[in-house]
Parts: sequence; structure tokens; C-alpha cells
Amino acid sequence: MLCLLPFIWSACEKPYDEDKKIGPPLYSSDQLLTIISGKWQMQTAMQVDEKSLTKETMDITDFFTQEPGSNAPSIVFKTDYTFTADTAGVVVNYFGITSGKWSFDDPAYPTKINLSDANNQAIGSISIGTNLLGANPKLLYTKTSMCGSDKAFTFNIDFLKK
Amino acid sequence: MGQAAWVEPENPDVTKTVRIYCNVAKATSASADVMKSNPDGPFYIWTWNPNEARVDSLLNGSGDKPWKNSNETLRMTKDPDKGANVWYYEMVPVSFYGVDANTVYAKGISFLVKPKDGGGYGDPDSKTEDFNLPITPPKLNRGIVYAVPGTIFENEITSLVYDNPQEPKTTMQNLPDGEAYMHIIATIEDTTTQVRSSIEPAKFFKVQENPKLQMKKMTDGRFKITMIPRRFFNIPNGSRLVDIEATVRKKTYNSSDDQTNEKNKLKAGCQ
Repeated sequence: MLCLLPFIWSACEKPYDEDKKIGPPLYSSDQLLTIISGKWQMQTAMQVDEKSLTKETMDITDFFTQEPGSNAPSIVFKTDYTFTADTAGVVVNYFGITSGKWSFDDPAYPTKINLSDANNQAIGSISIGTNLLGANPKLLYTKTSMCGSDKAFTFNIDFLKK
Repeated sequence: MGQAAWVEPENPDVTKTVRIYCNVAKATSASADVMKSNPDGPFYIWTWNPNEARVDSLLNGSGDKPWKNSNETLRMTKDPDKGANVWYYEMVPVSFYGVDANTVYAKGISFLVKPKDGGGYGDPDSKTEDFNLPITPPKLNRGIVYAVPGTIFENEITSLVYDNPQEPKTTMQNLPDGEAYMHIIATIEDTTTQVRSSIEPAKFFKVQENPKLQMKKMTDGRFKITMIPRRFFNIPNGSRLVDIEATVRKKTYNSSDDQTNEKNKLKAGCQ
């Protein structure tokens, strides 16, 4: 009887439940590591006024590169799960630190990269914006400044792999 | 009222109560003819945009044939002051549709008006035509010189904006890139003594000599200077930014015609 249980269980499943099943990972952990490792550089930077009804957005990309000798923010992910953030000529280092550790939120189905300092204190996360296997994989870093418990504004910074 | 559908107020804050009106008598669809001859209603709003997948209690209809069974919660109210067959539905759009304000402004509101039984399923339809109303946000009372975001933190990026397309002064309209300069005075306060002082990167008649004060023209015609105030003004340690006073003039200044009349004080910190 016990041998039949899996078959009975399976037969009771509703057809539409099939759609809700998560398929196997598209790529292995090694492939993910290969895709993520390397230098990611800021492509665009947007500042959203969270107090505005229309979420008024200002493109501040040029602010990061307008001064002679300035460099767009970038971050380098290494295969040993450490990272470095370039600060030379960078107007603002949004990561707060120049090096630390990184990890996927879910090794099989990652949606973001968690960053921590050398003491494993979390310092933020970067969302994986588009399919990593696509032509232009993108990472999105978001930082929100608060007025008490209310959002004042949010920075949305896209990083493309170089 | 010359139109069949509208919202009140005209430029609503969609986080507050809005009335969606329909003058059934002005509907143009032949399927509304029966409704025109029945000004007593009752009528119901049936709406799908900006979001149709709402909570169950606010769905358009229920049962096997929802078109024949409009939701009683969506029953409209007659407004005889506006006409013999004018009806409205009152809602807070962000709550009703379950979306943020920006989505309502981006998508507008689409709806039609029908009796509880809208026909169909072999019967003739009874409904107005579809109404697609653009929803425009309230006009901001922030003048033409302002900060984006509206909250200024001295250690964070902020953009000071000159809204040249809204400039009422004809001699300052349609400025080309490179022609707008901002005259700025920062008020700072010593955090120990509370004594206030000013930092002025350049005097009004000298701003064109300071490239940091040249505004950059954006694609929408506005101009901006993006900065981190603490660095831009070299605010000393032990002092904090109180406000920024800003006005705009042309690069070449001959008379008061070459400056905007507006001079705004933009407060720093959470308001």
C-alpha cells in the first residue's frame, strides 16, 4: 500500500497545479559564478522623489561623470565570493565600503546578490535586473533615504557588465 | 455639462476621494438607448483600467454571468444638480484599484456604465460606450525654481531645477543650453552656537564666471544643476545646511529682463 501512495498522490493533483511548479535551474552554480564574476559598471542612475504623487524621477547619470577625471561607480565580483568597489574618481561610493563578501540570496534561483563587510555585517543587496544569460545582463542597486518612517527619495542605479 | 464622462476634481490627487461622473444622456452608444429612457437607474460602474484584478469585494460583477450581475458596491449615485441622468461613483483610486498614484496617472481610468443586468449571453447589451479618461495630477505649486527631489539632504545628491518651459516672463523664455546660470546662496548654521551665515559661490553679477553655476538643459526644456550640497558649498564641519536661495539669470546680463522674477528659498531636511 505504501508503494502506491506516490501514485495516488500524483493522481490527485489538479492539472493547473503543474503551471505553478518551478522548473529545474537553467544553469549550474558554476555558470552563475562565471556570469557574475568580473567588473560591473554604472550605466544609468535615477533619483525618484518618493514624496511626489507621480514619483518624479531625475536622471542623475551625468552627475557621476561630468567632472574631468571622474569615473562611473563600479563593482568587481570575484569567484572567491569577495568584491571590491572602485572609489578612484567616483563621486559617491554607494556601497559604503571598498571591499567585502557577496552571496546569492538563492544559489539555484538567484534574484539578488547580498553584500556584506569583512565581519559579515550586511551592507545591502543588488537585484538581478534581467536574465543573466541575456545579451546585456543587468544588476540594479537601490538605496532609499528616509524621513522618519517615510521614504524621501530612492536611487536606482543600473550596472552593466564590462 | 457637454461631455458624457469626467472626473472631479479635474486634476485629482488620486490618493484622496475622486468622483467619476457619467451623463448617461450624453452617451453615444446605441446600446445605451434604454438607459437614456430610464433616468431612475440604478446604474453601476464597470471599470477595468488601471486595474481590473481587484480585491473580490470590488470586482465588477459576480456569479456565472457577472455581466448580468453587477456588484452592488459599484452602484452609482444620481446627481440631479448636474443633470437629469447624471451619475457618479466615488472612490479613492489608489485604494479602489490597488495601485500606486503614478500608475493611475500613467494609465488613466477606463470604465462604462450599465444597469445591474447588462444583457449579453444572447440578450441585447445595455451599456454606455467605453470611456477612457486621462487623469492629470494636480498642478504643483512649487514655482519654476525648485529642487528634485523636494527633500534636500546636505550629504545626498539633489538637483536644483529651473522650469524654463513654465517661465511666464517672455524675455526669459526658450533659453538655449549654456545660457542659464543660477545664483545661489546657502544659509548654514553653526550647530553649537546656532549662529547663521551665508555661502555665496559667486555674486549675482559674477555667476557667469563660475562654471559650476551654469545650468544644464534637459530634453524637456528644463535646466538643472545637480550637486551634493555639503561639497558644492564647502560647508565647514560643525555647520549644517539650513536652506538654499536660488534664482536664475542669463549668461549675458543687461537688465532685469535677463533674470527670472522668481527667487525661491528651498529648505533643507525633512519638512
